[in-house]
Amino acid sequence: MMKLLKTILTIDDDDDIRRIGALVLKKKGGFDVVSKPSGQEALDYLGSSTDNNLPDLIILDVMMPEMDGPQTLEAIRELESHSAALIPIMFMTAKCQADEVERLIDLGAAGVIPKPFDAMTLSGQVREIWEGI
Amino acid sequence: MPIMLPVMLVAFILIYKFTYRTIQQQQQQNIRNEFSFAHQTLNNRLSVTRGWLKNLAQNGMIVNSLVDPKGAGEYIPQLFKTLRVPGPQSGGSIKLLDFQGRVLATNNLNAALQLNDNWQTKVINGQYYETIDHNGLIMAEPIIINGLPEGTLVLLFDTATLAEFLKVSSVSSYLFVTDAHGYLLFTSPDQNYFHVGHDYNENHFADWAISKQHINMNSELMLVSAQKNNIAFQAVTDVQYAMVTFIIIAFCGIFLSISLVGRSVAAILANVSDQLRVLHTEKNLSKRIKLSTIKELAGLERSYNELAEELQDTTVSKEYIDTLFDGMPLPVFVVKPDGFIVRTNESALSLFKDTNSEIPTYFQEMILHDDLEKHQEELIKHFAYTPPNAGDTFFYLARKHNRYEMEMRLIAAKGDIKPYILSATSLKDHKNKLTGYIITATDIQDRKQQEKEIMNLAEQNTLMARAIEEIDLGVTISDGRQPHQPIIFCNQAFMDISGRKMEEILGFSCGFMQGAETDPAVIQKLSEAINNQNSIRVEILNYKKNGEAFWNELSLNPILGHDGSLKYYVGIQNDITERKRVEAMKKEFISTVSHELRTPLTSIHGSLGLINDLYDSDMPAEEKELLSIAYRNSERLKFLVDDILDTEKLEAGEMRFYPKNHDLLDIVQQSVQLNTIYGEKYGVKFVISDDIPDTRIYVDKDRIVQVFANLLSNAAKFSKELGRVDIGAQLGRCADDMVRISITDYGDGISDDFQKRIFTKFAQQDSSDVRKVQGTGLGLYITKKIVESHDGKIDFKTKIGQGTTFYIDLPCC
Repeated sequence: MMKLLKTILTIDDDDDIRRIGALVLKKKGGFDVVSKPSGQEALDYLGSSTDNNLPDLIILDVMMPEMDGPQTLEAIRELESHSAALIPIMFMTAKCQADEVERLIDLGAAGVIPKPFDAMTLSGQVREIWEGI
Repeated sequence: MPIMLPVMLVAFILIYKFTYRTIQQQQQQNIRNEFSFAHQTLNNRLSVTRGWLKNLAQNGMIVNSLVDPKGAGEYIPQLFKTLRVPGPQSGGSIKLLDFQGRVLATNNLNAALQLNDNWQTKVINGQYYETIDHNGLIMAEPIIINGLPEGTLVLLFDTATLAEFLKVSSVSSYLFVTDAHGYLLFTSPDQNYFHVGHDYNENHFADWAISKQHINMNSELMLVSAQKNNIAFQAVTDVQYAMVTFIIIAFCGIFLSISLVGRSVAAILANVSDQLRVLHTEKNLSKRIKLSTIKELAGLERSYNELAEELQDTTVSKEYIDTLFDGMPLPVFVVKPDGFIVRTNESALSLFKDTNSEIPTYFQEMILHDDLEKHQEELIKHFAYTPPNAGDTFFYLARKHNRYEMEMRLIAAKGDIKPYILSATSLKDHKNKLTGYIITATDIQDRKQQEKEIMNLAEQNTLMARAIEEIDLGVTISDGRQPHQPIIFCNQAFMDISGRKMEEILGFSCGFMQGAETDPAVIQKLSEAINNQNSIRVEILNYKKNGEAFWNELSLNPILGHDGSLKYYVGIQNDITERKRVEAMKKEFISTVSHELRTPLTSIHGSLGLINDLYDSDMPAEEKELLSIAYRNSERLKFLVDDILDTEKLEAGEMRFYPKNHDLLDIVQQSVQLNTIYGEKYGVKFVISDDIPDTRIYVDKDRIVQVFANLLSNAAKFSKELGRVDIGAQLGRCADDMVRISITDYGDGISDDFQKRIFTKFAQQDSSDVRKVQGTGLGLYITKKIVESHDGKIDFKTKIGQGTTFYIDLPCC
């Protein structure tokens, strides 16, 4: 994908993790970051955005109450806006065994980042996956 | 002289009459005697055989074999093979039949049994049946169990063997045995009148002396004895002629003799007296007197010669007995009533061989005093008799019982004390006066030893049985030979575990503990193992009698017989419900810690890292120092939690591996790349060798990268400043299908002391350099576990001051 990675939407129910993630990606990676505490809020945000304001990448936590990662992914793929529905999505999960990773990739994820992430290397990992898309 | 003639004539007639009558009486008496002897013999033989059959029908083994035909499979045919019907014959056959008339066992497969309604009806009603006729003999004895006939023992003789069975001998008469129809079953062998198989015909014996009587309770048999009358009368006629001749000769002889007697008698008497003297002085028993002249002195001659014969015979038989006595392997002592030893044989002497000690004068000197005293106590108790001294004890008992045996220890060669069975037999003279004892001594040391061993074995068995009863593991034994493998033994623990009583367990199959939620896959596994006669260990959900479920760790082990066939299954059961609960708790704990501890730690670590990284230039030096300490330690804590969780998972068997084919070089490169920054921290460069073989390994990539990363970071940590770490790989170093990856540093090496515990938990090398003591001490432990989980091996070579190489052998694809 030739597109430059500029804006990232992160979705995580844990406030601290979400904030640190956003901070790390902002400060170390130099990305613009929007973060949402639940799948529903993220969907609302995407639904209310114009195509020009849409993020380039979504980083989605797998384990969340109410609407979990895979469900959120499904919902995003079914959004009316085609641009929104086609945004690449990466998962973050504590269960990063091979079979689980495979399952998530099969759902249509661009990549999987193991949790807990290393603050120092997170931006590098994200960029690496992005370049592989 | 003329008067003598009529006198002698009268005497002759009288003698003739008397002789005639005597001979006739004698003959009749003989026949009677022989007849009654034969009659008694046959009667005895039949009743002994009946008694034998009756006893056999009550024999425990035979009765059991009808109750448990399967269990009898081995020993009953063996027993029957060795059975011999009592009596002179060898052809009698014996058969064991069940209530349906099937032959279960026999000692003679060839003997055919004619089944007929007669005896079967009788035996089915529990009655004894017997028949003897030209077809042979059948005796059928029902085997009664709980008042009902469950089987039959049948004794069979065919016609040929029956003749043997009925064999009786006679001297002066012929004997015949017939059946009820006059058919001959046995005939004396020395006559040509009748043979077995013919009909007996009395007309043949018109002028014979005949005796007849039924034998046997059913009067089926007839014993006939026959003797020709003329044999006896021939003898009488012979006597008649002899008498006439005798009288004539007597008349002539008397006159001639009288004149000679005077001279001859003196000479003959002198001869006899000479010979007697010779016999007395020379003991020459082979010499005989020869008197041919005078008839009256023939008696004298005969008496002398008979005396000499008898003496010679006695001497010869004494020699026989002496030889026998000395040749006996059993030590024999002949003693006087007071125990004085009169004679001993060679074996008795050999007890005292190789010693200086002589055979003692009195037998009781050889008996161990303690043993005598012990028997003396018994004497006092049982016979209210106190012998004057201990030695008398033994002889008192021998006298009391005529023949007496007791176990005593004898002091023999070199003071050896060995146990013997002493058997004393009283010797009595014709006035029934005690003249001594013959004592034999049987060495029973070997037998004693065996008895002791058997006792030890019994004791061991008791101990083992006790142990099985005491342990808190349930133990069951199932009979593998029966279709549903019923339990035939269980211990107390099994009753506790299953919540059942003994009678609710024995006879049932082990499956009674399975229930609604028992995993069918486990049941399937169990029955497969049982079908294939394998050992198996499973964890299975079982139910107590009250329905309470429990986890049972069950192991089944087959016990095979000598022929390799399944005999028993031994089951060991352990209630592991509590253990399962703890395991579940532990698992939950691990997952909780995994999530709840790591998440906040990540936040702390991430935040500190960001501050450290982004804002350090704005910070005063002291705060910067504090911040870096906080960051370093949060990192250390993160590693520690990760390692502890890995360790817990590995030990609980919870760590899952997802192996796939991976390129070896890829994994090595990736591992090095991940650690490059860490290496730079120590100024260490990782160098991958050019000749890494182009091979693929079947591993869980993440875990093997973790292994390499661990070894690389260790190597970097313990390298010298600005050092290098070499990474190489070679195929087939430990086995053909293995690849060996080596990671070499050039640091200080590993001390002997640390080498021993390097792979144990929380092992850390003592070091003066604080910078290096930062690991968790779990890294190499986890590494080794992961490598071993991949069927690999890890080891190292080290030299103090020169460095260390770690090897990992992994299987190639």
